[in-house]
Amino acid sequence: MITQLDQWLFKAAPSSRLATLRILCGLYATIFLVARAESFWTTADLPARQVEGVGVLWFLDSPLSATIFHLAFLLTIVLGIAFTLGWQFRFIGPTFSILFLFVATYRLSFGHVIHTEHLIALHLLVLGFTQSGDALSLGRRTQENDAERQSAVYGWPIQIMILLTVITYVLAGISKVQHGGWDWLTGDVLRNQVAYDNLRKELLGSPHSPFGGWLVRFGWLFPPAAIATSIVEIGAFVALANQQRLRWLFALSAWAFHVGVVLTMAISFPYPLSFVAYAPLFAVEQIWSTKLVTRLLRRKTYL
Amino acid sequence: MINQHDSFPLSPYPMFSSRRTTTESVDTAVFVTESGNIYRLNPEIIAGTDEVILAAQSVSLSIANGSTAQLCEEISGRFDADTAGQIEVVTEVFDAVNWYADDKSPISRTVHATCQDNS
Repeated sequence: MITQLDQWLFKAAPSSRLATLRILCGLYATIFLVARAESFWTTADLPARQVEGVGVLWFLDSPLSATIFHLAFLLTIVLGIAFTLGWQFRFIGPTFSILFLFVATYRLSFGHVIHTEHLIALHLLVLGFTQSGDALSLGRRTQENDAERQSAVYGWPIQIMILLTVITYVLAGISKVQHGGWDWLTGDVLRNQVAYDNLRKELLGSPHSPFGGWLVRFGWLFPPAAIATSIVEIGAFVALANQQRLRWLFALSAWAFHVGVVLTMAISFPYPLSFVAYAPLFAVEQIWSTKLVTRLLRRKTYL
Repeated sequence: MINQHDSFPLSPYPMFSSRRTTTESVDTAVFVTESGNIYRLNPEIIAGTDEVILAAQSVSLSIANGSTAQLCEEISGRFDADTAGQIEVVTEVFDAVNWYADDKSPISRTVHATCQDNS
């Protein structure tokens, strides 16, 4: 058993795979910060009475200086670019992943935890504190920038990222059954949830899903949807197997589940929807040899 | 089975798992004109955020800790009405499934605070 665990965790992988994950996750996180800049920025103006520290800011009971938070947020974006490029990674890797954790934690320290940044924050911590800057990095000498190097040093962080992804889904699946019980599996909880979530958005003057509201009329749709959701979430552990077919099955069904959440409740989980959340499951370094990327890189070289 | 204390970045991921019934209450804030028309306010006006869940939580917290009058004044400062009326911080109870079957009458409606629009 321990030998099998050892073999699973310390599986050799090319340095370019971990580096490609660094580029994908770094790029995603930086774009996310820019896209949600207004939400992050206005966090500094939320009322002091709402402060309720979570995670690494559990001790927080009053707001931070707006200037300090704004500077930290801007610095996080700048370091996100450097992280993606792999520049000065021994310093930038840990610093960016901790700063991302800090600004995301602070945004969620005002009374309600939303779940869009949990997985990317954990993935960035893994990438930031491991050797994901050993290949495809700006400013490294060619002999150091060996994309073909195979080692467990590059494999175990990827296996941890996979494990974190799987745990996220399994926990979400268990929570639903634990709270909703049998009513979750019969679809009643899901139907009421879709109705309530859309109604709340309407009453709070926010974009909602008219499609989800319309679907609520058809009660028979919800039992199969609830069972399918539970199978996708609790069944996520199949992605731990080193079989591409099972991994694709999990990734595509989980992605479809998130598309369903957008369509029925107008709730977006951008990390899985971007598919970057599932990238650790695959040999992502192969994207550099696809025709499209090769052509783009060649064109850039001519310029 | 699982510790349900929600946090970041570690969490039991409790989203969509609450045992909801069809009848649910929503804490929100609205603008009511002198003629009695109700206009929904968006999260930015209600709580200075674009996160709907955070806006709802802001109203719920203010009801829980008795600061609805303060919240009402803050909303008033962010709202620019083009007609006379007042802002109300309310709890509205609806049958959410019936709402989408076109029965939009509230089961109950509790007004926690009212204030004049300052614009």
